[in-house]
Amino acid sequence: MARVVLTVCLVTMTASLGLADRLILVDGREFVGVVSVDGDTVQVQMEYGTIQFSASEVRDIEWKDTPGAELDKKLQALAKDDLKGLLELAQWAGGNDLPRQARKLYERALTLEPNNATARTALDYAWINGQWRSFEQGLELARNKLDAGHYDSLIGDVLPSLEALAVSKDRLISIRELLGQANLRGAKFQAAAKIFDDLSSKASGARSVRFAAIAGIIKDNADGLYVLDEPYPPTAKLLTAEPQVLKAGPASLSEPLVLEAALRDRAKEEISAGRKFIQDAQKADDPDTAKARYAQATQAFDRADALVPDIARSYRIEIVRRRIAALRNDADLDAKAFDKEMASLGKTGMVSQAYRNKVLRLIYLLDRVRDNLKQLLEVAKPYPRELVLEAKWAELDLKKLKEMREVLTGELDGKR
Amino acid sequence: MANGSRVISASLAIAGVGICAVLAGTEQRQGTRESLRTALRDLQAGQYSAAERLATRLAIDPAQPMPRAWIIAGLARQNLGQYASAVRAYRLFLASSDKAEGREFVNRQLRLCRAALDRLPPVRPPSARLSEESVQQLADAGAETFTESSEHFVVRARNAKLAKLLAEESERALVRVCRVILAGQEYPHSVEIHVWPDRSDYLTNALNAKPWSSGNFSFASRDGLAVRRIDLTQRNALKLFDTRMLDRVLPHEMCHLVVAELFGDAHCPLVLNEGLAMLAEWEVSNHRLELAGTALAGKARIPLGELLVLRSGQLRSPEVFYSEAYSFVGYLRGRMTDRQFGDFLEHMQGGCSFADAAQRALHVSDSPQFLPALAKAWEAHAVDHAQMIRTLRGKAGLTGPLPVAER
Repeated sequence: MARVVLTVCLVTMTASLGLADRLILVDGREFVGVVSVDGDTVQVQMEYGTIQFSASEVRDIEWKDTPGAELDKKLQALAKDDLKGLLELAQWAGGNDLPRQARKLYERALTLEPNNATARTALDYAWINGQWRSFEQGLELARNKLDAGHYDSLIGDVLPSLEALAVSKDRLISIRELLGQANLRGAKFQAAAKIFDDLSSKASGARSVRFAAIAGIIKDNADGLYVLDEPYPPTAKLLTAEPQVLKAGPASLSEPLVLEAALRDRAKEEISAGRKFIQDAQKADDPDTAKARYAQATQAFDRADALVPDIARSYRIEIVRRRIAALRNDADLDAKAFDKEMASLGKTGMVSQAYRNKVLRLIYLLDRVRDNLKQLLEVAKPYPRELVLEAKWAELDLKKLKEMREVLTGELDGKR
Repeated sequence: MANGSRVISASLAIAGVGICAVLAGTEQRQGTRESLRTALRDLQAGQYSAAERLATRLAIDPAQPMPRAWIIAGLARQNLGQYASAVRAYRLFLASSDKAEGREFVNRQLRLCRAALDRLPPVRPPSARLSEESVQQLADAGAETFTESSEHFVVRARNAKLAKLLAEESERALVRVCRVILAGQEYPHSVEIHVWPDRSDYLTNALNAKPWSSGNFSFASRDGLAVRRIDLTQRNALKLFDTRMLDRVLPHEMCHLVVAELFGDAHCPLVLNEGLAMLAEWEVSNHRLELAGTALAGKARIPLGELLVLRSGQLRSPEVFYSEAYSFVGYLRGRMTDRQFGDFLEHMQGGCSFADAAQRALHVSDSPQFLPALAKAWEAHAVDHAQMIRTLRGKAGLTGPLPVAER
């Protein structure tokens, strides 16, 4: 009777069931895993692999509770103030692929004992500066201590504790950067240079460039003395709203503004190198050399922007404007070719095939113009404010082109 | 075996001494760096004597000399008025530093120290150096034309003394225009200066002279060569020598000439062109500064955004435009270093907008807020400046130019 019921069930069940179950075959063999049934096929997924059987080979399936259901049962059996049981259950949930539920249980444990170390640790807290803190809270504390000049406590206590929560590379980099800054501001220049050097190899992209530059600046000025050629911020005299001002002259790299000024000096060098590449590109005889020089210029501007955000923006726009001019030039050539073809359209008698070919040629030329204009819009896209005219002009042209193309394709279809 | 023990003991002793020496060296370095920071703090706090003593000691420390400390010693000495020894300190710093950064600053300080040592007199307009008798003589104009030349100028005037004076003053004005106003531009050309006795002669003979003007500059081509020329008027309506020609018109037109050459085919906004030319004049114009501030505080104001794009045919209120141009360009020039201003002109010449050129020259992140912030800062300054001029005029009961300098 049981066999009949099972067979009926196996036949009617189509959805897969993700359960930790026991499968018993007709020949008496047993398999424990996640059993799923699909039509006449029964599959059991085990740690070492998956096996399939036909339904007729199966004598019985012992479905087990899902971990979620099991957790609910265990929780119901638990006394409300049983901290130890709660923690054990949370650990069990964590081990049974129920992280969300585990987290809730740990949080519930904290309501019983707010400073419970097991729950706090499991919930990504660390004991920092006499208090349990999350990574974000710890980072905020570290930044406040840096601003307040409490470098020793930061280096000796806060940051090492915070490192326990550095579960990702990004977090570790943030912590090490603060450590580097604390050493620098505490005038431990050699240690700071070493940390930033290390960070430059760990980080990527703009951050890596910035860390490498900081390490370089400290190494080049091992005594911590940096001479500013200009007051900083550079707009301080011009825009009186600037909050802090460094006079030109000698200053210590342990002052945060001095490091900013030094980074700006490095960015200036990159811009100068980039400008030189642009000049070389303008002088280049062949387009490939010009393209290569523009690419080098862009790289230099990337480095400058990594040191001072957006400092090279206007130079990038300059390069884009040149690219737009080249695209416009190409588009104009195709537009002229289109006009020439158009001019000859009604002048000579054409058999329908020749006419059709002529229209196809016109469409081809229009498409070339359109592609150039679309490319133009693409390169202008990152600078909507600065390149508004170029973009608007291209959009209007594209609209006209679309209308012309519709007329031409209509003509083509009409001839069919 | 005994020998072996002795060798080990000796090695340990040497290693111990070595470690001690390294530790001592590290400590000493730390100590020296701390002292350097102390010297720097003293300098920044205005404790110049203490800063000078400590920095000099660090710089010449026989155990571990720190020659970069000379810059602190130099700056402290300069602030103490010890210019000659400041120059020595700066030179020692330059000799010890192979870095690019800092050189511009030190060279600037060296120039200031040397100027202080040379006790250069304050800049005075040329007419202030003329006696009454000379002024009377300079009003003479005969039939004969006298020619005088200098490195860059060939001057033709109907008065020998005036031709000679102008040859000298033109060179002075050119130096002022190129070095001071235009932040170190070169001008490797020759210019003809024609001085006409009266306004009617000037209007008849000068090339493209505007009816309201008393001086102008022009470019022409003669025998395939470019001819640069400035035309001036010698006497005013009362037949007296026009000192304004020396103090204002000559440097003004010369500045236009140099700027025109510098920009070539590129567009130089009228506000910049006229502002620079007015700045080149030897006398500070408190009248213009007062008018600019008054206009900016009232309804007649021309906002910066408009000021930057106005062309000569579009001026509804020329006097306000010129006053604001003078005030604005003076503000800009006075608040940028020579290098920044030179870069700014280069970017303007390269076709940048005003905001782009200024931000590029300052090496700051591009921001749409830059121009509004600049306008706000300048306007506030101009209004304050005008108020100060009015207050001084009220207190002193003066009617003429006041000793208030923009730069």
